[in-house]
Amino acid sequence: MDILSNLALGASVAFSLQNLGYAFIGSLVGTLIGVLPGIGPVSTIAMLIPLTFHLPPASGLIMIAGIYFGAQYGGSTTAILLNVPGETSSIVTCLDGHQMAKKGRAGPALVVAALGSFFAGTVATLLTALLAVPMAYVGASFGSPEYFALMVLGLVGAVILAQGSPLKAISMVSVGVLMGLVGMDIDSAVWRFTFGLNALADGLDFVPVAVGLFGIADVIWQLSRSSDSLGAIAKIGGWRPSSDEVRRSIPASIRGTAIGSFLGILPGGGAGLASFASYIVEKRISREPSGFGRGAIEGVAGPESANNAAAQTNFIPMLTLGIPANALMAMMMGALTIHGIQPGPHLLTLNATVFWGLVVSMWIGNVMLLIINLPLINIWVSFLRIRYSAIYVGILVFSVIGVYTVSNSVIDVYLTILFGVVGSLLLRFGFEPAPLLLGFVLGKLMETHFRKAMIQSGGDPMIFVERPISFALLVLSAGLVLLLVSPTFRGSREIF
Amino acid sequence: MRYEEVIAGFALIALASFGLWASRSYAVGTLKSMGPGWFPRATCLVIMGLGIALVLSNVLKPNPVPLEKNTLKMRPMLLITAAYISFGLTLSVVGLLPAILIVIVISGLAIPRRSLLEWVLIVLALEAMAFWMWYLVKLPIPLIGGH
Repeated sequence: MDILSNLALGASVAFSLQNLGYAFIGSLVGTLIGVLPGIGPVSTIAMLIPLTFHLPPASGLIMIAGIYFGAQYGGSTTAILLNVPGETSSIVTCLDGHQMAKKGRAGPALVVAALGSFFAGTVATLLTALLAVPMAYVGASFGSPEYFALMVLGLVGAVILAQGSPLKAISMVSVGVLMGLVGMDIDSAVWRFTFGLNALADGLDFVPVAVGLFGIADVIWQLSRSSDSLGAIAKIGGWRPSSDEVRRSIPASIRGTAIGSFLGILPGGGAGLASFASYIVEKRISREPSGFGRGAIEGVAGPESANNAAAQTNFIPMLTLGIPANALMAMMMGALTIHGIQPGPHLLTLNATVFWGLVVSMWIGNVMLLIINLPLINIWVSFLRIRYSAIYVGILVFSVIGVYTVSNSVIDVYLTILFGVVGSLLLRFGFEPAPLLLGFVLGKLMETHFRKAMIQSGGDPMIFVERPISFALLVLSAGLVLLLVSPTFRGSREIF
Repeated sequence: MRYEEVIAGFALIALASFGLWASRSYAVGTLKSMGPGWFPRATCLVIMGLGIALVLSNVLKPNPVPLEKNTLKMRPMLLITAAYISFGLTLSVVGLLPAILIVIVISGLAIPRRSLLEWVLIVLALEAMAFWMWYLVKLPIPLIGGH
């Protein structure tokens, strides 16, 4: 019955009028920006984090969670109506969702996507509530060697899912770790890589790095691609799914929820992987696999449920162990740290109200999205017509003020543009910024745990192998690395 | 050989060398009691190794696979950089709204051919947004004028 009292505590936070308001604004803004062309959830959150900085921690996080789910949802709307995936997790939605829209079944596709997401979100919220306490319990039993091994596993997982060469992804993780080390070393009080700048004494701030690498770099990158023309927006037509469509969607949605919930918890897992996996499963078990790619509703219901479930269960390892599975979770983790909250096993005891408030408000966010999305769909569709050439100036103005407000310092503004230019060069040379952000978020902690482990063992690195859990985690990481360099897997990875 | 990959590899080597140089004075210590320099230097060495591997794997590769053409246009990059720097330089001199106007004009030029009406609409909408943000977070800088 502990779960119930925890959820009740969460509800008392999340259902306050103020926090309901923030959840609503978050979902609204998230959806709005999610449907705008050329802006994905990661850059959306990067740009909006500075504003939530001025709210109380619980409210700020509740708003960010709303933005997160809203942006995800906005992505599937553009996928179905415009054949433009907002991000990786809605690429598969394009395949059958847009085909349905072309056949005049856009309405049912949107309804199925929304209801499937809602169902998945509800199940995943319950799962989060159930798993959080035991996970945090396990996490609390971990010593430094286990934590170090766990972070290695998390970073290897992120590398596996990065596009392009694994060598470059590992390089990005390492550069991120190095960036995470900037600032005063706690043990020796030595200032590292600060180049005499007081502003860097506490380390590189998260906001300039995140806004630069994901917001500004993205703008420069998009402006370098010249296509500003829009495809045709599909007509929505009727809303009601036929009874055949309902019959086929429900099991697909349940399977998608199960797949997504599971994959969201794994290191390196996330919404993108979950939606691909669900699509493959649906296609394989379908009696008419040839219908896929031509508007099979299972191809919308499954992946849309899976990506929402994974988007939610992603929070479990991040909140309870402090290990973000992907760039979005690293972004959320950065947001938490800005509010002075360190994710990890102690979050549940130290910040119980924040944690349970967040869990409950995730579910509230899902309800609000259901309310906001379908009835207001025509408003969102009108946003689809806005051109990137008109909005990128707005993105820049919004970010420049946002970055400045965090500490009222123009140094942050200069750092942001520095990382913006660096980020666009990274994209130019085929490096993914996501592994870098993960390394950046974990860098200092990795060093701390490595040092503690070495003190504990008296300088013997065998400690990582002698302790069973850290050994198992490292074997798992090594297995993933082997998988990464094996030719068969590399071949199948290209498909994504 | 893909020259882009080779450049990227050398960039990593350069970054690692710079890191090693910048951390030259941090005590390394021993495994038993690690100094502030141990982990940064180890990370730099890893980066250097990865950079060398990237260079070698592309120099030694017999069959070049062309990368997809992904150029970066100079105009947006330079103008957006200029817009940001101008904000930092002018904010304390002219106040928020004029500083934002400069940002809008400079970054707006990143895309050629904009009609006058479009300019006016963008300026009005974004100055309103700037005012709203100023009001929302109670920014301690004047809207217009230096401080």
